[in-house]
Amino acid sequence: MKRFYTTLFMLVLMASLVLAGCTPAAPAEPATEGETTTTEVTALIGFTASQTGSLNVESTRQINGLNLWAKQVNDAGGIKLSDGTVVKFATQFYDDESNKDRVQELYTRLATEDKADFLISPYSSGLADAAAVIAEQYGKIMITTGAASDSTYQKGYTLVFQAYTPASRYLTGALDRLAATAPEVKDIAIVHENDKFSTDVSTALDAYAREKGYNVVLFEGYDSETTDFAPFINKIQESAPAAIMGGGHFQDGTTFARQLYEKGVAVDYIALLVAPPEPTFAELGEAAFGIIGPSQWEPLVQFSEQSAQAANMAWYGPSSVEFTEAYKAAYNEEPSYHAAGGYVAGMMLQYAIEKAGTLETQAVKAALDAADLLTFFGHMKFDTSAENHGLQAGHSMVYIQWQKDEGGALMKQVVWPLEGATAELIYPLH
Amino acid sequence: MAEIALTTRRKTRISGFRIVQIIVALLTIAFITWRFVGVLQSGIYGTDTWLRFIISGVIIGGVYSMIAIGYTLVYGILFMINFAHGEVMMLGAFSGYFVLEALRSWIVDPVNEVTFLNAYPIPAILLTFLVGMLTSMIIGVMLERIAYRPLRGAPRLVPLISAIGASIFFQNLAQLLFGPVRRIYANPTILDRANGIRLIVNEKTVVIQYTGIFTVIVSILMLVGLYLLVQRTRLGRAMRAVAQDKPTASLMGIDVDGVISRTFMISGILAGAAGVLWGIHNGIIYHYVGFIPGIKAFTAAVLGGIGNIPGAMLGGYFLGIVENLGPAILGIDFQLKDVIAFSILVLVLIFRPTGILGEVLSEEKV
Repeated sequence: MKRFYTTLFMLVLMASLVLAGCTPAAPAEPATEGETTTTEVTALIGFTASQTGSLNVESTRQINGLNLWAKQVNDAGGIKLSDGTVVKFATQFYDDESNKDRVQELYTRLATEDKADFLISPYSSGLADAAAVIAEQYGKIMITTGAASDSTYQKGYTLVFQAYTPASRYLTGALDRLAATAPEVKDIAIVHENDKFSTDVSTALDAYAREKGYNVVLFEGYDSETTDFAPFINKIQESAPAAIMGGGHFQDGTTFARQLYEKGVAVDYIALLVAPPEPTFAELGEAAFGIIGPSQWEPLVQFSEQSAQAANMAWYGPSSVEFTEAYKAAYNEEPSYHAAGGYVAGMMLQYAIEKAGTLETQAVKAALDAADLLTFFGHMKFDTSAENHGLQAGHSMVYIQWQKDEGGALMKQVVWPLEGATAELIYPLH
Repeated sequence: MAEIALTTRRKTRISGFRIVQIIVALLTIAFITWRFVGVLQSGIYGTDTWLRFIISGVIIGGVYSMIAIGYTLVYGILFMINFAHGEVMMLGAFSGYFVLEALRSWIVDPVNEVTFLNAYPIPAILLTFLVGMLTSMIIGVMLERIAYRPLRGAPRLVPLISAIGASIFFQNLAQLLFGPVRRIYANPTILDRANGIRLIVNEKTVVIQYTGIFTVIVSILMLVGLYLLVQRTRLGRAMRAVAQDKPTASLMGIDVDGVISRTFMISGILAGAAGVLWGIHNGIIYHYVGFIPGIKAFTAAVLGGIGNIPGAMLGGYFLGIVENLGPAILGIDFQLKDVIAFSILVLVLIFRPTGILGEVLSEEKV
């Protein structure tokens, strides 16, 4: 009998604990009569990250930037919609293994099973292009970041918006920079990674160079997995160009730069994609010296509310300094443009939701279509024509060069555009 | 006697297939010659560039031949392609990398900040090779014990699939353990990749990197050592006996399993050394670094005649040179160099399946 009572007591105790757990916590201060209670909704942002595979360095930084934005918005109390509802953001992501097939599978899952309200693209043009199809198919707005190919926006999509300067304008500034310093140079070599983004950039650069009267003495692609650049370097040495342009992503770009140095290639000007602006590029030591790289954004470049006023544009979001400080505090490293790109992708969504005053897709789309503003990342404006809908029309690149400070330590300097330059170009390199 | 005469006559008769083979071969040769003459006449490449192509080819060929030997040794004895061999090389390269990193951070002279790596470069390099070879050796032996020995009696396709599985497993394991980032081999100053012999050819500088010379010397020494081991030692004789006929070798008192194990040991040692050489010369390693060289070395082994040790050495050097010279000779883009390497594999399999030096066929296989 005693045992029966003990069991009964335990059961009652357990039941009361479960019930207590299920009951919502009482508000600290009961709402006073007449005050409208604010409802809070959570908007789910879905994306994939390349936590493994060849793109993991850039992708991790991009995701860091995006997470920082979400945390800042939520910490500040979220966004208030026109009906008084407060929106906070939650993120849902998967590892896409830097693999296109995985991307399509996972974005379908994000759109259908996880019911994400908005999507952010994975890093790299190839993966973002694969994700864009799915976003459009399931009627979800997607801000692409870390993806510069033009072709994604020429497929008639209406819900995909690009944060980056498109590939067609990615390396052309490096050629303009060269022309400004050495108009006599005519021979250039273009050696690029064989993926969609690098090929798009290099093809656009090739066309631009020919139009400007340059002689492209070598135009070749290399496989993404290349670790031995000897055959390409041998060929570059034969064609003896004054400038080498091209490259691809971080891993192959650093390998290429390192082997150009180790094999003693004597060229005057080297501009490579993606890798040089990364802070870790400096680990190459002497091999990094003088290398130029286009960057979507640099902490050195200062866009501010004042510059927005001067340019008669609307300003939105934090300043470069505020973003840089917040990122450093959160991740203990200098933000690269990938990180800034991740942040600005979230911020553009925030801007459009605030403008639209609702989470409804068509209203947010209309707000993005009408956006024309200056942010710490630069000018943001999307093409609204039927042929190029969503293509970034406002933003432009800055070009950095690895130079040395007085102590001989490597540091980045902005060398183009001239109005934003922080140092003279080092030319020629040899 | 009559029978022999009949066989001879049968052999001299040329079949239709043979005629097709000859025509295709002639067309291929004509095409290559036509392209080559075109390239030479257009003068796209100067003497200095041809020399650079050959130098790069010989260096990479040295690495290929060391890996190719691993394929050939295992094939010679077990008649199986050890597709995980490239990964055995990659893991050797990684362990060498960690040794170099440790020696680089070990400061022996705090005043001048001299590291062990630069203070004692020769012991440092020897230690790197030793650890790299030991790691690959252990992995090679374990691979045989776990993935291949239980399948010894199974049809030939079964261990092949197991090998492919092991290859993917090791790639993923390395990615998990060491991350996906490419690692840079820290060479001592005497093997700085930016230094080398500078030749003036055609009024241009052709640099032969010291690491390249080192790679070729080490690979030749290892290959000669291996050849002597197989030809002159008791173990070598036992290996050859097991390759020819396992049951008889066993009856003669040879421990067949032991010999197979030692074969994997030797091929692992060579792969480990090749991995370290790859790191020292190319400077970059990551989890996928063994795969493509592994497949290329397999091509080299087939090219030289699989199961044939001098053939694998020759095949490795031949493939390295062809890969570097091929696109230039044909006047095509260098991104097609792998196409050339694998086209050679296909052509060899069609025209001379026994390879350049001929496959060593054992009784069992025949």
